[in-house]
Amino acid sequence: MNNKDFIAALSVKEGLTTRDTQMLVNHLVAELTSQFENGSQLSVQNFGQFEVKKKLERVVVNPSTGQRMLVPPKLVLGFKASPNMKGRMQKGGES
Amino acid sequence: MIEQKLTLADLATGLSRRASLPMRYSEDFVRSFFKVIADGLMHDNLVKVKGFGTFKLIDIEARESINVATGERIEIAGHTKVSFTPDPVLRDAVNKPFVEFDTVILNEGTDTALMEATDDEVLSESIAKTQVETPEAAAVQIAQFVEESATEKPVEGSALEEVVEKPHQEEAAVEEPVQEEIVEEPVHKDNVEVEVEDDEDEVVDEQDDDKESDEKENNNNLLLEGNEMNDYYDTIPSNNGHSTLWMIFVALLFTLIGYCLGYYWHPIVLPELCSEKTEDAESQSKEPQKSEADDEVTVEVVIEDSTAVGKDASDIAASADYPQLEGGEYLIVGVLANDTMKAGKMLSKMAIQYYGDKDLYMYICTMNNIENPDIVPLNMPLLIPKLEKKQE
Repeated sequence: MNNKDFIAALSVKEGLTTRDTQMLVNHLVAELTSQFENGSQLSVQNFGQFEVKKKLERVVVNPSTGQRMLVPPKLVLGFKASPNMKGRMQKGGES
Repeated sequence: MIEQKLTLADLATGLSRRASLPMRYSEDFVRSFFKVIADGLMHDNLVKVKGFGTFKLIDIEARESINVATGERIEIAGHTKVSFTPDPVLRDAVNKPFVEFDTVILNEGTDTALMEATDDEVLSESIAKTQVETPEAAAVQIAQFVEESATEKPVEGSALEEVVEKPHQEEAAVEEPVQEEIVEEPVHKDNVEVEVEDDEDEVVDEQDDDKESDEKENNNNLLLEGNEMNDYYDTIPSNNGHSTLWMIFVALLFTLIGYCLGYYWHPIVLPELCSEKTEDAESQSKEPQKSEADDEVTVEVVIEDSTAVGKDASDIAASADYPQLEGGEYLIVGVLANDTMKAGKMLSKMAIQYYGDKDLYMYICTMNNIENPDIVPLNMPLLIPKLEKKQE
């Protein structure tokens, strides 16, 4: 399901045009982005939890060349599905 | 950075402010947003939201594992995992505080975890240094060696009779390969090594076959050898670490051999000369000198032995019949015991064993005609003299 399908499905559900839906989604994403930029945590009932985590710097080695590289620390947005969601995916995901 | 735990309601508030939507409606929309994602996942296993990211269902197969506490084998059932990959836009936005950091390729270790790499680099540096040094040093050492042999040989040639010289050269020649082998054993691979060995063998052969008359040639040969070696150093690429080690090795080998030659010719040959003269004066039999050097001493000893036994048999032997140590406190009056020289034994140890005084080893030397107490052939039969304090 790509973005187009997703917007279509959402518009059907909300009874809006796809253009309006896309506009609203863009606003929502902008809001989410700004929140995550501030390092906020978001939990959605029956869906999961979004969290910004800090990954420490580390040294990686290229196995083929043996070259060592220092990977800088970074902030990563992680997602953890809620147990409820996991359960549903277990049943529905196995088609 | 304001860290906050957001709920769906907070998100709806934000959205209503941005899109100027009524709060009730925006909350409904946000809820629908996540519900559609979940539904889409269930139907399609993948949902992409532009600007936000991709949700994916990943099937994880069942696998076996071991319960750490009990050691039991347990099976982790196959399950489906929900994965989320943020859109590059979102990812970069989240990572903004660290965006100026880049992945750095490490050339020289700056981390303690990289000590190995640092060591390697230091090592290679030092090798590079020795590479610069070695050719000169090697040349110097070879020059020394050539000088050494050049100076030694004339002395030897003028001072020694052919008969005496030959066995000693043989001895030295025998000694050489042994020494070589000891040093060479750990490493056999290099061509340079083989070449060197060949050269050495040539020298050995010539020493065996030729006499004084060839000495000049010999010297020339050695010089040639030196030149050859120099050529080696020129031809060997200097950036090769292996060849550097070999250069050092070969140079060491040369000095060692030079030392050995010097060592074996000096202490053995010179005492031999002296003893020869004295023995000539005493008009003793010349047989020992004409026989091989190794046998020489033992033959003498056998002669001594027979005489000594003979005296012993004739009961109280006059102390004059035994060789006496000049200026010694004791007189040798008989044979106390028979012994043989074994590996690890020393005359001084024997002296302690028999007399309780290591300084008395000199009497054992005198008794057995040993000129140099540091060089006693293995398995040489020794007579331990009976001592009596001189009466004055």
